[in-house]
Amino acid sequence: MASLVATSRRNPIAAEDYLAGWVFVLPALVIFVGFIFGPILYAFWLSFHSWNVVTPEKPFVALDNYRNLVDSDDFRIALRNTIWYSAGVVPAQTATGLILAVLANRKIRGRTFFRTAFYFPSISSSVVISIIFLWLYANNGLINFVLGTLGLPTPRPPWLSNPRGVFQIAFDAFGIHDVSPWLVGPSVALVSIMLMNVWTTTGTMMVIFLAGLQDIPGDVYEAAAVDGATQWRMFRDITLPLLRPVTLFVVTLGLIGTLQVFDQIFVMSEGGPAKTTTTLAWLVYVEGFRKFSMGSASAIAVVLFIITLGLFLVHRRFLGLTGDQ
Amino acid sequence: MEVEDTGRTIPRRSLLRGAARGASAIITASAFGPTMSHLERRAAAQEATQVRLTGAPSSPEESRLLEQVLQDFEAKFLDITVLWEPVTQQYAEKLQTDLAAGTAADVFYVDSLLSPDLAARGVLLPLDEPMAGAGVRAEDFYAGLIEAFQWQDKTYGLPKDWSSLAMVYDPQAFDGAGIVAPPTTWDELRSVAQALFDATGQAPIILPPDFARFIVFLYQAGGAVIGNDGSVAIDSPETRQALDFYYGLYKDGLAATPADVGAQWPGDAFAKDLGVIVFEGNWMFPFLAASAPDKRFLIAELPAGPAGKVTMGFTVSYSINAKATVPESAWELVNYLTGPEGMARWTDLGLAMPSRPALAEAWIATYPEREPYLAGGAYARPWQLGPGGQAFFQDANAILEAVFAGQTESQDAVTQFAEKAVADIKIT
Amino acid sequence: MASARPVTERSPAVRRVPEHGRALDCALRVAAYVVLIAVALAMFVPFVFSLATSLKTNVEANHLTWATMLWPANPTLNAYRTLAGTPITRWFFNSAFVAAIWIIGRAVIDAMAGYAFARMRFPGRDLLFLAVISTLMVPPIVVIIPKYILLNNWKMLDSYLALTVPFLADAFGIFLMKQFFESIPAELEDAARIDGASRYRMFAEIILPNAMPAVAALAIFSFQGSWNAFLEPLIYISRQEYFTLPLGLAYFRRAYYTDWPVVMAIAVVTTVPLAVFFIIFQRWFVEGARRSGIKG
Repeated sequence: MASLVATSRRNPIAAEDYLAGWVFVLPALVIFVGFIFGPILYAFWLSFHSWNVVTPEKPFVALDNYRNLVDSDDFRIALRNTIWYSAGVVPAQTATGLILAVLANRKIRGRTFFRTAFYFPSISSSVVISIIFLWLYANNGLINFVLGTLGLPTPRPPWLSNPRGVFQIAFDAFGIHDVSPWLVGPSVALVSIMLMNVWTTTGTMMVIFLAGLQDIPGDVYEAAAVDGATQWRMFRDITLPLLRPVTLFVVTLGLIGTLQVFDQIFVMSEGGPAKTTTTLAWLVYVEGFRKFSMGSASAIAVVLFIITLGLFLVHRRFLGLTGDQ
Repeated sequence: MEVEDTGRTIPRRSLLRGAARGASAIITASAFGPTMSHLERRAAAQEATQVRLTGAPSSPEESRLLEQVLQDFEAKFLDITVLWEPVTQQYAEKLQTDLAAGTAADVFYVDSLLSPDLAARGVLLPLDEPMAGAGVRAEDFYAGLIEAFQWQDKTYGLPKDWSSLAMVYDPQAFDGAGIVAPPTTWDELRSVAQALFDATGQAPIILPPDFARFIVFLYQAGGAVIGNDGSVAIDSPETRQALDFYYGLYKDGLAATPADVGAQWPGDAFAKDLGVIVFEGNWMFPFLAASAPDKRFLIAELPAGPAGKVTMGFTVSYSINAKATVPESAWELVNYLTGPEGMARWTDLGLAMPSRPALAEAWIATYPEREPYLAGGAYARPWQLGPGGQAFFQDANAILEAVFAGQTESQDAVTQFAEKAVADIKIT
Repeated sequence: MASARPVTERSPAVRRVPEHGRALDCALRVAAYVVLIAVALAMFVPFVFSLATSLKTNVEANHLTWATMLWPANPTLNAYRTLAGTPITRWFFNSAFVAAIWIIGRAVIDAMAGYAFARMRFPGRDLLFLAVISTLMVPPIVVIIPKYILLNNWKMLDSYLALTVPFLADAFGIFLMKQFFESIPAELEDAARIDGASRYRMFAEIILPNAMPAVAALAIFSFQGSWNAFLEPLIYISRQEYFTLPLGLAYFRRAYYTDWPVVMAIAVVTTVPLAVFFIIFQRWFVEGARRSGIKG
């Protein structure tokens, strides 16, 4: 990062920063301390207690909630599903967001039209998106229609009702049955929701990448063009490296969003069929609001938090950027 | 604005830190401490007693109608005003949040499935005393309905209205397959379905992998989820028999799930001519009137199983918050709304049926075509599975979905039902 | 990340573009157009579908045919008339007002915090930033009840306060601004420092104007988050006069009886303002670049 700012106390800017830094973060800090940190810390505290939500008693249970998770089938299922979900959606939405942003950044005609079109799914209400996709994935919907026309088989039960793991289907084709639950892969239903997610969030990632691309000054490309670089070369050697912080942001966002995926599950599948779209965040909801066990729900949330934080720290190092950069 | 380098950075920093810590301590202390809710203060400040009512009306029309009924009530009870705060969606979440914070209304809807969870935890006010004082008896309501709101011999809510399940079928398709009368037993259901299949090549029955439908068949076979002694009784030959019949219809191609035919729910499939027989409640009427007004349909009582006729009683109660500040006024409201006068007004809309047998005649006179639904009042079972019933319902649905996807064998499913019942149906 | 050394280095391998390189360029350009158009259509068609459905009668909406997929046979404004009979203008106003507060609040507060994290060294900075980012890693559903209790104790429920104040700063926005401020070359600030500007002036006069693309992105996301917010407003607001658009319109999404044209009309009414907002603000993506003034 910074070029000539030395941390010497003699430097007026550095000294100013000690105070100015806090002044600049103060408004945000007030909001966070007031409304965000508190409830989160409360939830963490709650994970060591038992609470049925409707009565005030909250007996202390130490690590019981966490111990129960180890034995819990539902937790294992949710953990698996969440991992598949993230592993599938994050690369996909990052790549498509980037490609669309690059394409939409050029001086092509109708640029506004394209950008708006790509962003549309992101701003559409979840009602619309869920309705559209319910129709698309319906047994007599568009996707099956296209597959049918191409002579390809369609899944039975149809997409969102199909709990078979996609890898399991492949294994079956090779005559391998009885695979461990960890290897059957995401269910057809989960994959359907993953595709819907990518379709929805690509626009958001595109917007972020677009803003990042704007920061790359045009003369850099001009100079490269003078040198005779091709578009692809420019993309690879100029755009990608300069987009590193933005990419980090998009991947982080993707990780956090997919590990927390809840809204789509809530609207489309409610954790089914046969719990194959039950993710960790969905499980938190079920435990807290349907099983009257808020302490256990908080414990799951804490575990989810630790996983997310861990992945964030790891991949930040991997992308070669630390907070100090 | 310039900041000069005075070298006094350390004291300033720690001052800021200290202030920040102090502020957050004050905020935290004030935040989670108990106080009276702002609504309670508002209510106490007014002359007339205010009763807060909340619920989940299924449509704006229903909400408007309720407001009219409430106006009647206020005209009759001049010293009580009612504040009606409908919740448009996610009612259960909002109710639980309110209960957690102590801001729940005085009177609120309680779904029959949720009732034991709240009653067993002391959230609801027992109504037996006020009932005795007002001459209201449990027998005034259909047994299958009021039972849902009773826990350990006390009553915790009065059913405001209800819906049952009946068989909705397409008479034209029946004529086309030469079927004269709707089936009245399981065997007849099967043979009728076979005849329809032979005539059309399509699965005639739309059957969802939904425990709220399967349970009817379970009861019809003589099975139970919880036995009379209070222990889990779902691991039984009757359950196996019911599951074999239910899933058997699907396996043999006589039934299809809504998803298989491209519909959202069985009624949707019926409206789109994708199914001939569905088992749904009186909500079919407004639905069909709006989405397929020209479609002819008839209703018959559900076919009886080996152990007799059974249908479900889907109902919601008016219950009183155990912490209500004005329990007597709250009771007046509940009594009026579930009394003969209020209920008659209320069920006039035809969306839901009166839960008092005494009002049955008048209702049938207005809606004669819905008679098979109301006739179920005599043999309806409560849609209630004990405390933890909601959790079991979710798990049971997952098991059924796995069965329908061919992933679980019937006998394994029965065992799994029992495992989940033992794990879920209890007080935590 | 951005540094003072030149970002392009002359590489002998690409000094002269071979013939097949230029053809590749051309092919890429055509492919780009094809992909763009296909994807754009895919993204637009669902919205057109929902618009069309909103103009149908209930019966027609339930009997889909290929011919009426994108436009009804007999368009009618019934669904919109039904909506007009609801207090939709009030709900619209509430949503718009709350969104405006979100945008203004976040644009200032998140930008300030983001800048501090990106460029200033102050004690506790890294830990604080980690704490802020960490708040994104907790599933929101688990803090609904504690937040509700908090707002209740502070008498903020059932008012615009509950819909706005807790949301004036958000970790996502701070993270976004920080990443973008980091990619602004340090030369700008160095030049300002030489002129003797303080951090506050630097921020107001140089940094913020140059971060317009990021601020525009932040505005778009803030509007989106506010406009579509459902569960929290539902829990915090009981009085109908404070309902926002999603709350008020949720009535029409009945479990069994779905009035498709009305639901779609709602979707259209909800989506169009977002689209308009986006169209207006996405122009800043170009504006901002023009103003970047790095060449100097």
